[in-house]
Amino acid sequence: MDLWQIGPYTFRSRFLLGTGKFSSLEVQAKAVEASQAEILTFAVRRLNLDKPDEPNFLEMLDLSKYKLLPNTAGATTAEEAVHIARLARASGLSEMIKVEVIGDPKYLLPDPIATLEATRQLVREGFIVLPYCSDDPVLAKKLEEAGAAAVMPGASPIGTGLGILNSYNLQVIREQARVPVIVDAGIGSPADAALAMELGADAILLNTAVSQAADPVLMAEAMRDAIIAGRKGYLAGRIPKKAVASASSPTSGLPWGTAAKAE
Amino acid sequence: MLLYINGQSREIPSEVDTVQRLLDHLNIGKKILIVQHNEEILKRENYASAPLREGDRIEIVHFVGGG
Repeated sequence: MDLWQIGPYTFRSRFLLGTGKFSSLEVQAKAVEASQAEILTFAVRRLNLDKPDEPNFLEMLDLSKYKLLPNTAGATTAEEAVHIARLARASGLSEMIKVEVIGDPKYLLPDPIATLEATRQLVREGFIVLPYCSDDPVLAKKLEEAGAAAVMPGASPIGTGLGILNSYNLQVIREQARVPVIVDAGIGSPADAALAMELGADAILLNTAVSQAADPVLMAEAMRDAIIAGRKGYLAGRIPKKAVASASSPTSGLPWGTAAKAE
Repeated sequence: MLLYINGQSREIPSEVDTVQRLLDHLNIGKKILIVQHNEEILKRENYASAPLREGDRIEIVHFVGGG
């Protein structure tokens, strides 16, 4: 069985699903079910006290089936990220935290320095830290050395659906990482997810690709299948790319012609 | 007494004098929540004993959809 671990936790599914930007709770529930994801991300925000009974997706979930991965989305400094993480942990529902510290409001690129600082501090405080980072192999290594339980390099900026922009870097990160590599952000199509897995990623985290698809439930199924297919493709050992052709059918035994008689 | 809850000032009856009573008063006692009282992020088990004072700042947060 092809299981994998984050810190003390073991998982079978390599599909981590974000819970943002779904058009309805009903579609969201069906998409989560179709994904067979075992890890779901959430953001931490003020409760709207004027509408306290607004339905909340987390409160509808059977929490025994999922591991919650709260994120620090909204933080622009390490201090803010640490604060959100502490709030999330105080719920008693999760020791894991996705560190997301955004340094740029247009491209939502992660601030590498604040991400590293927040990771160091949260590791010190005993969190299981999963930092979202750029696809910089040196940064990924430093995050790992700081105690991150996994590294989460982006395929491309959040919500762009541009897929993998730098497969070279992702392969270097994969080669050098001794913790799981979870490609997070920018996935658009099942082919993107499959490619990331074929490059050796341990798992994929995506959100917009499913929640904003025309048919999120069908896309969740497609992504689930793509991640499984990509993983098998990686384990199966693909053929190399060659410059010249190599016939698949035998070159001898064709049913015409006569060989010269032996003298 | 006047409290600042989620960044807004609210007048709360004086008998609502603990965080737990505040959550019940706001009809949110059963929700999955995290409460910060002034500088302190509270543990659930301290909601009933955390006393509220005039001018206290309360943050009541929860988990919403996000990537």
